[in-house]
Amino acid sequence: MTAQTVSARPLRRARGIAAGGPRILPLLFFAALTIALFFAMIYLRIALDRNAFELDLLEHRIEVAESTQLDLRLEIAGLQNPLRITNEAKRIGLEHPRERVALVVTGLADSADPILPEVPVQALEGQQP
Amino acid sequence: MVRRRIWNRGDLRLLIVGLVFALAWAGIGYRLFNLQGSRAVALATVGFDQRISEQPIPAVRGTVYDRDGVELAMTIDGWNVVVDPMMLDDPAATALVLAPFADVGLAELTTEFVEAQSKGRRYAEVAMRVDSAHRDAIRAAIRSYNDANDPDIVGVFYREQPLRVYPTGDIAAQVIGLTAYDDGSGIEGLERTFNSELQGRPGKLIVEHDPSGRVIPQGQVLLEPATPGSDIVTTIDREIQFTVEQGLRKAIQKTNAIGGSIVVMDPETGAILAMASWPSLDLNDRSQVSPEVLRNRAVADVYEPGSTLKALTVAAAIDQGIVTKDTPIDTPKSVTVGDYEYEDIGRNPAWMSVADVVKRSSNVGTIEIERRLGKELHYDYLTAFGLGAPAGLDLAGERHGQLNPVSRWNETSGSSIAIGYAVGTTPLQMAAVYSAIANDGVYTEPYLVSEVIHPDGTRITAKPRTRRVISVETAVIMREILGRVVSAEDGTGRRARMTDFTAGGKTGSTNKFDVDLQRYTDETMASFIGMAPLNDPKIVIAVVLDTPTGSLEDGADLANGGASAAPVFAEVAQIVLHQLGIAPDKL
Repeated sequence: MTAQTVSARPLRRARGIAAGGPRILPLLFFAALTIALFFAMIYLRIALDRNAFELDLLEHRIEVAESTQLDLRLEIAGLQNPLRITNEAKRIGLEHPRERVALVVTGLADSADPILPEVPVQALEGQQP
Repeated sequence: MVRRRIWNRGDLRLLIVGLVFALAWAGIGYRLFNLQGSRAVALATVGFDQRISEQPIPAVRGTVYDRDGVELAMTIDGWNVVVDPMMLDDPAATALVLAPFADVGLAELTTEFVEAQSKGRRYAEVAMRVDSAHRDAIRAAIRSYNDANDPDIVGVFYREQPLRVYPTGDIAAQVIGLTAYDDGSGIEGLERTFNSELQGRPGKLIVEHDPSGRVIPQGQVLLEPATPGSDIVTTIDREIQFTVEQGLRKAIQKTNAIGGSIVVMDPETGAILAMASWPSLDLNDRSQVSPEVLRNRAVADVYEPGSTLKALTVAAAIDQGIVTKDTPIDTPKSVTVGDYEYEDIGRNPAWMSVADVVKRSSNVGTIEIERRLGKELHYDYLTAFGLGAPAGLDLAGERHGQLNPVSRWNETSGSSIAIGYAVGTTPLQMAAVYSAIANDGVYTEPYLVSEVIHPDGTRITAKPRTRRVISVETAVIMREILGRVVSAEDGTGRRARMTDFTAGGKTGSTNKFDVDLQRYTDETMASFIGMAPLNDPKIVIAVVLDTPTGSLEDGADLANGGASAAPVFAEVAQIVLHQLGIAPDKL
């Protein structure tokens, strides 16, 4: 067997790979980013749920307030019931006046332009203290 | 010789495995096609139905306001309290706690729970349509029991059920009307007439739930909110309505009448300020409900208006220039028309002026005036004043009265109608007739609802139609004539006088017709329709009493409108005018 001479070719060097092995920093960065995104999503989800709960709570409060408002309107209408007022007036001894007193305002019946007494109008003119 | 093997063992195994896989995939493919293709729609529907349920959201019914914005009818949160008997550990103890709040007594409630449990039923009613305070009281009682006892009471549920309430109870009951107990739709009065506006549109909540029926959080797929009903603003003034109802109640007690009605109308606008009927009811108490008390007599009772219609006959003749208020009219004791003899009650002079004919309510004189007017013109004025047609309120139960066309009149029709017989009217129609006289001859269609307010805030405002029916001059003369009916000592309406205001009006007393006997009876419909203050009327009031009996201290027969209805007008009108802030014109 004769020896065959082989021309020596230089070995290719992988680009970007450190001499000591593959670079770990980008991998770590990617892993950290993934983990951060994971927790961020969890946080956002929790925040979303918390807001949903708060919205539910607010809606419930609105419903209760609306219900209370209706009850109060009903109570006001009931308190204004003329029958209740009449009975209450009778109970405390109120009665219609028996004598009628006619107040005749001088000048009102004689003239188309009624004579009005002078009144201080400072408040209307913005001169109040 | 070596046999050549076409398949080696490995190839065969491969083939078998391949076939098995192919068959498996074919099976899966078939199943996939079956589920996702041919049966896809049906299965999707079944699945949807299994996990989706629809919960109706009731629409809040609109509010009915009086003209000052005070609630006459409104909807509040209400609840149905129910129990799942199968969840009860101790039905007797549960019944004991719930009985004070239940619609039935302790024994009945206990029996209901025990029977329901034995039959496996999962629903039993405790208290239906209760307000929030009632529900809270039940909750508190259960909480209190659970704190002190073991096991707890569980299985009590509260289902939302809007509650229709009437804060003023019996005020304007027949006008407002009622809603049905089951579906809450209007069945009487304004509740019925304006049901489509008031009821709104129910919404729905479509929710996703698990197989055990629990709602999946955030699984809600569709919310279609309910649209609340529109609010309506009536022309009713609650204070005036109360005054009128009190006046009517007193009149009924005083005259022993079996019923009655009063209408108060603003003649300028046509607005109905009050409309009262007796007998009445408290709308919050369903046990009082009956057709008799729900009937709004002011629009549903057709009666012969009697002498109150004479004003229309005379107004028509004056408006046509056929007579003046001073034209002398022969008034013998009686007059025969066809085969019927009409006569006057009491003694009258041999002749009277037109004004005196009205003042003394002479049948004979009015018939003579009608004869001069002629039946065609008479009929034209009757229809122009709105008789024989609905007054236009569109209120449930409203009737349009009865007025035959002139082609169907017989020999006595014109004479009978001239004095208020052979024609059917409602108290509201008669109030509208007098409103036209009070409003300088312009007939204004009465109305009861001034505004409809939609949930988005838009408003629809009533625009009543008007038409001139008599001239201003005729209206002024008629007011003067009607004023004498009240102011003159021999006027039939003298008991309608007020201390603070001038008034004009006309009395009416008609014998009631017995349909079974086909003849008139001694029972009467007594009425007074008037206006005040006379020079510029702000109100027209129609008072109608059904079958008043007895007599006044001076011997006046209460069967006559002048004795029974006129004093009611005076009492009510004086208070109402003060309530409206009208300055007295008689001091």
